[in-house]
Amino acid sequence: LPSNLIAAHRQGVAVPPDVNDALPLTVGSFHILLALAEGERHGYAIAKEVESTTLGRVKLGPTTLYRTIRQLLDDGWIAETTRADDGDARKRLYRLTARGRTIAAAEAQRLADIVRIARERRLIPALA
Amino acid sequence: VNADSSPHLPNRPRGRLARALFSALLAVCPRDMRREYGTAILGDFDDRYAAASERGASHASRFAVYALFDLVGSGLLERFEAFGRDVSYAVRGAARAPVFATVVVLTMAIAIALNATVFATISAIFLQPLPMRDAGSLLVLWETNPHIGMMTEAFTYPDLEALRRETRTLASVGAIMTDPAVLDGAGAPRELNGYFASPDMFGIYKTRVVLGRSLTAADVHDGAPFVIVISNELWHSAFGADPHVVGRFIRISDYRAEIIGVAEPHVVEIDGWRGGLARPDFWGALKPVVWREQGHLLRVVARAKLGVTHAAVDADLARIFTTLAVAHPADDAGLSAHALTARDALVGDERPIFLVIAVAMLAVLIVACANVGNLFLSRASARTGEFAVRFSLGAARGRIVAQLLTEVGLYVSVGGLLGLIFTVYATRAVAMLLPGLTRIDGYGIDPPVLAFTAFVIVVATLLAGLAPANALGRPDLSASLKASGRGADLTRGRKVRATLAIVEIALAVAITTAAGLNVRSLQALTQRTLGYDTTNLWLVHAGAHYMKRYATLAGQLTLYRHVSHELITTPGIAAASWSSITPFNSTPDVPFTIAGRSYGAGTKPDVDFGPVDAAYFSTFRIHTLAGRTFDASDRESSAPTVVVNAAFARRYFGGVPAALGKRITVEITGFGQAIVPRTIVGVVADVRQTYDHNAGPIAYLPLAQQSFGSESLVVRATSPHVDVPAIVRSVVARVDALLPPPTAVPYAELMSADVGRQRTAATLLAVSAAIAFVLALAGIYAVVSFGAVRRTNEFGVRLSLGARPFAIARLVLADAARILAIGLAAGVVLAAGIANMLEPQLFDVPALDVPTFAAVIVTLIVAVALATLVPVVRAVRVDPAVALRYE
Repeated sequence: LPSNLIAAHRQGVAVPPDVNDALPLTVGSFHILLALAEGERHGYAIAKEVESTTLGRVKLGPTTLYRTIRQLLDDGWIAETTRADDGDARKRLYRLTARGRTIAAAEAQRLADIVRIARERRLIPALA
Repeated sequence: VNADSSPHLPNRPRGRLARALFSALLAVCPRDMRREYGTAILGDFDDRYAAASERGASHASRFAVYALFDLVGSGLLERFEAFGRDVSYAVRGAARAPVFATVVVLTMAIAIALNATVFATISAIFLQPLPMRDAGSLLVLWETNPHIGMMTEAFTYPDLEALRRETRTLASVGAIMTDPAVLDGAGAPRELNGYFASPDMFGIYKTRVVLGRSLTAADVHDGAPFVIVISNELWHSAFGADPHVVGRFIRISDYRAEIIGVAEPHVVEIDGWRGGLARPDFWGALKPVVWREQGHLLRVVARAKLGVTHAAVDADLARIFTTLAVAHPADDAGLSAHALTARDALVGDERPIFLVIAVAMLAVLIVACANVGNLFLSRASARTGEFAVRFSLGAARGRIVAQLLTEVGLYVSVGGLLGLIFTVYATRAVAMLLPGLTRIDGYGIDPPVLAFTAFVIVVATLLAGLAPANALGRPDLSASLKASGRGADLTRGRKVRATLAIVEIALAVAITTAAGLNVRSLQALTQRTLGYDTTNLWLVHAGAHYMKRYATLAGQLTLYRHVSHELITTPGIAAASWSSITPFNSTPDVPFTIAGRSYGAGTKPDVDFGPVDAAYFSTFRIHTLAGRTFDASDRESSAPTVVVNAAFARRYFGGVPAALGKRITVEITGFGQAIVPRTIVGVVADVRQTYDHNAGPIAYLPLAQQSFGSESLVVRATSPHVDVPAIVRSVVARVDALLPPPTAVPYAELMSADVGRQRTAATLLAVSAAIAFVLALAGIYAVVSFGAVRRTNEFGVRLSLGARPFAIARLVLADAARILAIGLAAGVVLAAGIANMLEPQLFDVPALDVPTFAAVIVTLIVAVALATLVPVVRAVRVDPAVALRYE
């Protein structure tokens, strides 16, 4: 079984089979989902949050930011909470959808599984 | 994007510059992304630039550069990904509908293969440079005699000299005379393609000599030794590329010739006799002493001076000949001359027919594209619901059109690749049909053909994709959504489909008519009465060297008699005859006069003529109409006689019996025999020398009194299974072991080659027509069938209300009838136009040939009726209960 399904089984979480198809996520997508896991945010707020939580290692340029937001909207993993009829997309707020949360969790679990293996092989120190 | 809308507008010059650049580069992103997020991205840029500026100018600059790269990178990625998504969508679509995909790909493959093949052929004949240096300024000159409609007469030597002396526009003028010759003393005797040329010919063709020297003016003097330049190929094949070959003596047709040079490889020149392209094996000097007294035998090739126009050359030639006519009224009155470019001289005649073929190929491409467009429309109509949903979700029209074009483009490209594979085989087939391609080598798929195919793929994608894209671009959203996909159609799409079907029908009618006319013309041509029997008849090329080996007339006649005798006593051979006038081969003509009549300058009539032996008329089975044909009583010493044909007797004496006993003088010079008046002793039936030759006047001379020393042998076998070449070879070897083995060609082959051009045209057109016809049928079937399926409910209602099946059938057929009527009308008009273009190429068939037009129209109507049978039956059999269940 794929690792994320094993993980889902272990955690008792139902993972729809096609979540597999979405993984792995691009770095940008995953960080945007992570940023929105805390709550609703504007585009610029997302970019700042990602930059600060990764200590500047992950940067989302203006175009990459909105391009990724657009894809996540298309996929239905995030949604707009306010319909911005004034035309300024910067004022739109985005939130995680249930599906987006599942995907982000699956990706996180996938990475956690890899990290666990790395620890077992003593590539990085074991947790206390 | 309004630059003033941002509250954080950078106000320093550098910031403004960065922002302007960023704003401009937003164009890299696809339009829908720009429209949705352009303001957001630009605003985000402003916010972050302002934040960076607060930390210092270097931070701001670094951010600006980073943001610009991010913009360009993401924008391109977005575009590329959109394309990639469209391609993968199209591939998945093809996998879901394999039959649809196969039909579309095959249709395009066939149409593209046809286009590539025709383009390769046209390119080889008309576009590729001729295989000679600076072929563009190479001219072929002809004497003309407008009074008798003669436009391509060879030059006499005196005319050539006058031309050289007087010309103001030609840099150099040279003459060639092609002469088959035999090489002895280098292995077995072999036939060579000998060129007797003015020394300037090397300069005119810019042919280089890789060893020794080329011909010079000194080599043409009367007493100069016989020297030759050999071709590179002969140097390799006969002399093993011997570096000391220059200075060697060899025997050519029993003359001792010294090799003075070796030409560069791959020299191709205009053939001095038939006028095609040929590879000479050797060049000898054209000596005035030999040619001065001959008639119109020299083919003249020239180079114009730099910067002189073609018109100026023609004017110059006209001026020279006007002067000549004044100086030599007896020989040159009425004569003129004109120049053709080498290309026109070689393939000028082929242009009209290839123009028609090119038009046909384009028409097939259009029909194929219309059909593919139609198929996509039909399928897309079934997806109206899907498109409407996507529109309502805000998908840009451009995105859907791009996706559709990507899909069509993918199919067309795959079809194109497959088409190129077909082309490999098709060009091979054409090469077999059309042996006289101008380019001797390298006909097939080459870079120009690939470039053309790529161009065709783009054009075909647009042609096939734009109609459905346009029809789908603006669907009626609410109607489509309400109808939930089933039964919904785009009125506009329906109209487009009907129009496409009409175009297909019209083009199919036009091409099929053109093909029909060509096929009928070819049939008529090959069914013409020739006046002789060619069953089991063979032509044997014995070679021109006999005259040189058997120098006297008596010697030649003895050889001929021996060979004939040996042949007819061999089982399997019914008859054999020697002559210099063999149909489908060559027919010389000369001026002649009738005793008791006077002729003004340049008004002597020309007549086809040739020496023939006593067995000639019985071998060819030509009927004698009056008097006798030749027999043993016609000897060198007996009274000069001549046999003419009925056309001759009618034209010059008013009837067959009237010609008997009259005396004519045929003016043959240069063969050492006296020009004497001859008595007409017989009149024979008319013959055609070739299919397209009219049965004109012919004078037959007795071989015993007049020989060219280069007669051909004609042999009739008793059955098609007789191995004539082997028999002839063994007989000739038995009679004279030193003669090179002759080659025998069946008449069927000569006759077939004679109509090779017409057959190629008819075949290419017929193939195009068949494809166009089938595609057009498929097109009209698709429209009618789709229309009928769409109206299933309506038919169900009608049937349940008591409508008779016939009425339903009429409803379905009305669609087909409308398309057919308009398509036919347009097609017939188009066909008439093309037929007029074709007229000069047609034999015994008028351009507006009623049977051809009628056959095409009737066939099409019947075929359309059959094609619509399935949808009609389906409509009539609609079960009202089932049809209405959906309501």
